Amino acid sequence: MEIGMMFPIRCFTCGALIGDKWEEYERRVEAGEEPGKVLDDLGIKRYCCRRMFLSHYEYFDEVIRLHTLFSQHKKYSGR
Amino acid sequence: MISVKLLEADDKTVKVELEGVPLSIANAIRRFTINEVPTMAVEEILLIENTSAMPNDVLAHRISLIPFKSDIDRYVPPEECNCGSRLGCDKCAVRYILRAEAKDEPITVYSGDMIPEDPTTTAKPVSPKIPIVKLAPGQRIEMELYVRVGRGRKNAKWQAAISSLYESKNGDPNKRILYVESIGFLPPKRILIEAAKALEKKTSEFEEKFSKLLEELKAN
Repeated sequence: MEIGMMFPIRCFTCGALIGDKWEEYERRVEAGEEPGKVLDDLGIKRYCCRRMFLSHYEYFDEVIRLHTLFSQHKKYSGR
Repeated sequence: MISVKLLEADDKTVKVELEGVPLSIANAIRRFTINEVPTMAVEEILLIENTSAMPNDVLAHRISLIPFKSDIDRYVPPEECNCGSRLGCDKCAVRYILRAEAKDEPITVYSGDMIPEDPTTTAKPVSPKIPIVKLAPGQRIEMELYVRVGRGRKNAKWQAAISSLYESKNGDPNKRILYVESIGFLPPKRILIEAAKALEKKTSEFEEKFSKLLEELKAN
């Protein structure tokens, strides 16, 4: 199940809600901001929650990309 | 000498200094803030359609972890409700509908896309922007969600707070600091009140049973 995984809704260790902060984190880090500073800004203090962000890779985006290609193929090939 | 002092408080956290409170009692309060405070989360899902890339069980698990603002004055846990209905009545369950479909572009389904059947309900997701699942063109999901009151003891999704108990910095073993951080279900002060209420209820229940046992022993 590791493949096709989206960012968790709660921290695995403490149970804090983190899912709603992922998109802002992702956007700001991609724009070149330092991850640690973004996490401070978002108010994520404990290291259990911080590692959830730092170590995450959004595999699900690749799955969606693949499925998007499938749907286009179906559309143009008629199958 | 027992003294309880409020050190810090904001909309998410509360810090209390306990002086002269026995460790066992202080720890009981900490555990009760986590385990015994009633909160609301999705307990049951009626899945009508799921053609997304995410398996049913993973999708259901993600939805169950979404915290709901818990109006525990209005809603009661199903085991304390006397409606006797399997799915629950308007006092012990809130029904939500989640329906989403990606047309030509991939979309992200958020917690804010869940629509309550009763628009006047006070039980709403803590944040409307929690991503639930992403859908590629042509994929769709449709389901009914049953939000109910529960306690952290039964399942961690109902855990009300993140709490810790520690000795104060100046090293006085008689003073302890109780830190309570709300996950969002309830305001932190309310969590402390509910934890104390639950502890009082359990201890008085125990006292009643224990005194009954003592009487029985005396009689024999």
